[in-house]
Amino acid sequence: MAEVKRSICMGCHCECGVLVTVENGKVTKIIGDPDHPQNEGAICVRGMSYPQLLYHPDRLRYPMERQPNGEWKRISWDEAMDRIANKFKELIEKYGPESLAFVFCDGDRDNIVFNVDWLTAIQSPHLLGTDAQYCIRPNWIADGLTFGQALTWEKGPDYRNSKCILIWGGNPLETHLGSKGQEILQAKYNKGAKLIVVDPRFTNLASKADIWLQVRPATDAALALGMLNVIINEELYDKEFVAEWTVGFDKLRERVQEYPPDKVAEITWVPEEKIKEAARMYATNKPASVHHRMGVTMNTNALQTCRAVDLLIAVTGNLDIPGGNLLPFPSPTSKVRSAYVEFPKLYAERLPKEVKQRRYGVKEFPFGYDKANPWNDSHPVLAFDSIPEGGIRGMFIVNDPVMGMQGSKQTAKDLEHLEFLVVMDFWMTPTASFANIVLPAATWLERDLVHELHYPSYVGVAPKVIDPVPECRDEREVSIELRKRLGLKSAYPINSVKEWNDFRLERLGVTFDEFYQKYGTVLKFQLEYQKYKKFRKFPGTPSGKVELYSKTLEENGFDPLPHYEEPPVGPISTPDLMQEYPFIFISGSRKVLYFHGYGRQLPWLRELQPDPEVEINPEAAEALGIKDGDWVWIETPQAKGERVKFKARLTWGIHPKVINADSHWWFPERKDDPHRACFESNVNVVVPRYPPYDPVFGCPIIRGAICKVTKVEG
Amino acid sequence: MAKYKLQADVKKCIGCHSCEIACKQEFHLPVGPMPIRVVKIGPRMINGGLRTDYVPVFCKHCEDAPCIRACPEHALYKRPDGIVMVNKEKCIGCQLCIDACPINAPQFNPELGKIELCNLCAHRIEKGEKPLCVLVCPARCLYFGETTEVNKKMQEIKVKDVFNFK
Repeated sequence: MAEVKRSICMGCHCECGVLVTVENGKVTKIIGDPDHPQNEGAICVRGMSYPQLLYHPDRLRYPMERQPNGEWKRISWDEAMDRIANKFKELIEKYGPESLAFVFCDGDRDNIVFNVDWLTAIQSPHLLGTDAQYCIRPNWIADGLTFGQALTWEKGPDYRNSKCILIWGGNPLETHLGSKGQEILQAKYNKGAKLIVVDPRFTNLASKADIWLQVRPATDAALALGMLNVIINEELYDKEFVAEWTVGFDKLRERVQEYPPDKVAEITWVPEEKIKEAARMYATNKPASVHHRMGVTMNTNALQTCRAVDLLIAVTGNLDIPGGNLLPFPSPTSKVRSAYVEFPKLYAERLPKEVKQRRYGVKEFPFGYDKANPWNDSHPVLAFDSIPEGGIRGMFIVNDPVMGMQGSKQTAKDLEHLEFLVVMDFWMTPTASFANIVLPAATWLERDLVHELHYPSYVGVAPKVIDPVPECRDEREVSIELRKRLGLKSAYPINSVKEWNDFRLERLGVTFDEFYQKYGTVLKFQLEYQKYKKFRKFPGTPSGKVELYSKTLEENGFDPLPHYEEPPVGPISTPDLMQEYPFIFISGSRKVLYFHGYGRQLPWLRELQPDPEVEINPEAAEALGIKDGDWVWIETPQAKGERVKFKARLTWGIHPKVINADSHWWFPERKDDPHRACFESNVNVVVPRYPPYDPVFGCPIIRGAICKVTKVEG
Repeated sequence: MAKYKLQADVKKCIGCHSCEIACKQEFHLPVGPMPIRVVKIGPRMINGGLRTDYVPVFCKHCEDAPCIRACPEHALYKRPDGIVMVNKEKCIGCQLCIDACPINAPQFNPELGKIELCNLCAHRIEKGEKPLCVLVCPARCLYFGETTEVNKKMQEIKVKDVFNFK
């Protein structure tokens, strides 16, 4: 008997509504939910391929323990939890609680709360987000300094009402297709919104744009300052908003004089006329919205770049208005307890100051990882660096840092140094292959979940569609069990996932089950705009206004106004090195097929792209004797002696001096290798994790490295 | 004239593959056949600028379908409402229909050794539903309905584009 159940996909961070067909207890089909306010029926290939993931023969189905000879042995859940609890206890006794860390990146945020619960109960301050130094932190901190709170980057701007959309260093059509991606397309095609795309690559989004700015990687700050120059000097800014709601405009006006469009054109490779045209289009089509992502933040000038883009939003007054960039707080959805509020609170309440001050990164990056750190987490790279020196000895990991973090081989070595490693995942990932114990995780289809984090004005509830595939478990249940076995007290009055879900919804006056019965998967709230008018200030900034000039930055020894810095390697900084390494290297743009390291096991997805690919301009390739489909090596000066292999995809959509390689590529089918050939075509093998760093967060050079490309012979 | 029509507004397509995988789900297809698929053309230089086109390709349910004429086993046939269908019982997998089709719409299913062809989700139409690819398309570039309606809609869209009306 086929039954259709309403749910919410968690194949990425979009959280699209879905209709799931279940036949005889098995999921057979997943399509978009036409009644969900976000995706309105649209869905991407990642969500639709979950039936293949659920029942894949390679999916982890039971806990396993690695034997001294390297073989994996099936153990029971009871044995697994016993081993973990005993070993953790032993490490705490021998080396203290700070020898333990919890490591996460993508996936479910609830899970962080539960793990921080046991972590803070034992008094360890080491929560590590392996992407935390460049993913959302630069935006978050730059926005906090400028507006007093972070803009809704994850939830997205108000695209549906925008007249002009500026997408910068990211491609929502690949990464956020069901939510922001399709909203951009609808704004463009149904409402005639203008579209400006800043991207070194001619992406599918760029192919739909009114203006495409092919920027030199890692020079985005200069481009933003050049656009500010045009907007300010041509008096296209919102004079009323600037006068009433901002501080430091005169100083900004002075600063942008250092970035005239002709000079910016030289720095960024974007023609002067196009810079002017884009600036005018953005400033004169109000309301306008900006979205910038990892292309902008994965470099060593991340804070100043994010600040420069923020100031574009500020001087044009496109702030918290319909069709503009939005400020989340006070959010209509904040009645629901959010993971991002809960886990930093646990740190604040349960750890004494001296323990908190021992987090990695506090000393090295006192601003980005301490004073302005909204999450109280530890710097992931510095924490991994501590392993060989006897810092961290045991880890509980729920993601794949071997693939996702820079310096993959070093990361793998660090994991080998650990005394005890637990990894929970769907697959035997490269990181899991280094574990002592692996645990099989349940997917969103097998879990009861509350969704609020990525929705602008609604709350979602998604009861499990099927019972977990035998022996797979909800990560949260495992954390609760671990806490109990460690004999620790929870900070919450809860003992199960059900109680947690009810607790999260408590302030809405319903339980999890009642919510679903009453509202279905989604409850909508009214979005409120221009909340600063109600407060008569921007709560959160020292001046109560939008800080174009940031006193806080000045006091902490950073430039109070945005500026551009040449990337530490490249045609200007290291012209001699460019003789040998002639390409600028974009390491790890995303594709719609694969969410980070996931999906290469799934036949439908792998069919669409079987091999790791690198985009090279045909002229540049010809000079190297490389043809479309040839395998090539990529090498960088920062990782001498290392090289990674990709299939050349020749395209005019990339600058002759730039190449772009796929991210997170490993080979789950290569079972001859215990680590699944995870160093062969993994960009992070040649992108090291050591300095030069962004001075505020410690982000290494990721999207603006340099490299050489040679044909694989034979 | 065929009663139903599926048409793509080509300028909106982004090549995201959603239609392809939706079709695979609906018809339980293995690796290989894609009764609807998107052909990417470019990026190439046109009038000094780059251009990429994404063209969804699927059976057009021709009035005088060359695939039907080419099939030696009479496995392909046209329903009274104009939908071209494959009778899997009769299909021997010779693939002459693929040769005959101007856009390679028929797809070979290596697991069955037979042809797969877009039938506009005939089983869904019967229930008053749209083809699955239309429902899931994030770019909303696929239009389906009674032929006269779809023609009218596409006419409107194209005229709007040409005159740049909003």
